[in-house]
Amino acid sequence: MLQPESRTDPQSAAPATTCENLVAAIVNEIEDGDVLLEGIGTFLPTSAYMLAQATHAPNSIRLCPVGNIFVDHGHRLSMSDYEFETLRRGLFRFTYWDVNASYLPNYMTGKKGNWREFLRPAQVDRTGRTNNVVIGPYESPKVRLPGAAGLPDGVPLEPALYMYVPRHDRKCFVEKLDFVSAPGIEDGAKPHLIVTNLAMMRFAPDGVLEVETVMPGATREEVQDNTAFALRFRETLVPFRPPTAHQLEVLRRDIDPQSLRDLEIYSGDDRLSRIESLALQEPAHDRLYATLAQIVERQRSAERERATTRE
Amino acid sequence: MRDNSRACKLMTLVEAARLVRAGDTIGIGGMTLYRKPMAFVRELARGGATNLTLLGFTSSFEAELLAAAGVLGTIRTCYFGLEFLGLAPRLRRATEEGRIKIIEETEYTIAVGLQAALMSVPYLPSRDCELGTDFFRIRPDLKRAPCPVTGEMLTWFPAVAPRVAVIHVPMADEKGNAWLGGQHCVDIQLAMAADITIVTAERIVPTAEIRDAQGGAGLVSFMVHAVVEAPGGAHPTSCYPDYPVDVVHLARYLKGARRQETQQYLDRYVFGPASPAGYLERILEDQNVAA
Repeated sequence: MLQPESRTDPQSAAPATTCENLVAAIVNEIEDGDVLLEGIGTFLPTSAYMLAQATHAPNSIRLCPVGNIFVDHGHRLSMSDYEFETLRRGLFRFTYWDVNASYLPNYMTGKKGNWREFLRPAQVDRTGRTNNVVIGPYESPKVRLPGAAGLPDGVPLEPALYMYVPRHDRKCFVEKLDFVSAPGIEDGAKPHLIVTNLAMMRFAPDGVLEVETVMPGATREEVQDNTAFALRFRETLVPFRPPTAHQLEVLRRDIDPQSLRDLEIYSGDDRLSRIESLALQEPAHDRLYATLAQIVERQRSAERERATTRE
Repeated sequence: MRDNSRACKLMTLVEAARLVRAGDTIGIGGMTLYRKPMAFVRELARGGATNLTLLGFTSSFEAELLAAAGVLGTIRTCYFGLEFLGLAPRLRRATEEGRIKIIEETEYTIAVGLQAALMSVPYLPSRDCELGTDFFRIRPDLKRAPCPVTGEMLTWFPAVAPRVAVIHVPMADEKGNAWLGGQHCVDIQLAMAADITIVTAERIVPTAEIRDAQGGAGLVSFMVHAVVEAPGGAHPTSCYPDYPVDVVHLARYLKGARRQETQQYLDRYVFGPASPAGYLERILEDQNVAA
């Protein structure tokens, strides 16, 4: 079962957590020089991208939707300060149109830059089609999800699709999607790899999704039981390559000391309380309230001045 | 044609909110939790606007508040949620129950659609976007059709434009020249495509300060109809470089919503305060409330 560990001591040699193994699975796919696309508020793959930049892939560049900017190094993750930290480090600041309409179609079709993006599907089927729009019928949904953002635009063009699923279960790995918000292999898309808390699965040359690695602590049976369609397993499974001591140290100490990577597996009140208490400790919170106090003071003194002038 | 050449376009929040009519499509600038015109949105809710269509590239707490206050009829967006904090609960419920209609967008249906509107063309094409998805079923105005010149099959995005655009910025001058700060999103397209563009600004500054500001694009006076001074006007979203997003406030809102306390929130923060300064004073009172 998923048990996100409480904050890990960066100095300790505590074994890798579920989320840290997922981070490692992503990091191991990244090659130096890749152009890595961040999603919206997805700390787990973002921490992996930054860890790669800080270790074996120093020439990789992140494209951050915060500001439509390119950032060429890893840095510390935070919730309240993420926008400021990222914008400050951007090589250039673009408009959405510059990056996504002028430049990006060329990246995605593979003309320039080795493009890599790890997306999180709410539902995925055996052909790699995904759904991030609704659970249940579109017209009367059981759960209305946030929406597919740019995935329907980008997925049909990308040279290889990577996905991550922090909670591998039958709600996510479905026989039939409730809504197709991005296409799969049968419609010309190129799904390539899905990493989950239970397994790493790759689309084999014959187009079949194949379990390549069973994650530490999981079993073959568990992987199949939590998938609504029949899975093919590779004849010889590839052993998982766990994070190195150095990777763990950099991740825990420099990139993500607040363990924001774990937020993707929490839910409900616990998750909100965790966010609240972590955010209260962030320096940005005090900075925000000092600024707001100054604004109120300026407004009140302007009001007093106007009152005096009237008298 | 609207006269955007006046030397001084300053007006109050209340006056600017009156430019929005019942049933209007309003385009909201900014990205997810960043640089949203929240003071304007609170004023819209207080003023009792009705049946609005919100066009947002990405929609978050501004859409949530408008949904909770009952002024939203339709939302057109490709993403609504509070990023890493979670789903937008009142908006989500209202769309599930059919009280608020969704027009499902993607990044391109909005960005390319705005560009088509700016170019005065009915449609703009792209390669194979949306191919193999259900978008063609739920958006019959999105087309797969051959290029009229070469015959290649393409995806065609229809033009889209709001009647009113509202964009919050760190600084503007009284003529409407405005500096966008860090993130530009689709704000320039929105401002150009709308009939009426309203800028709300942290500070009203001399034009020279706008000229000197570096590292960011902006809006030029002719694009802008109204300028409102709204310090702290993006809270609880951020306004780079002035202040960051208020994660604690948003987490507490979401916890309250789980306990069905959204009405109390609206009373305290939207309908209660007599002015935007009064709103910020209530926010400052919260600082000492323990987690």
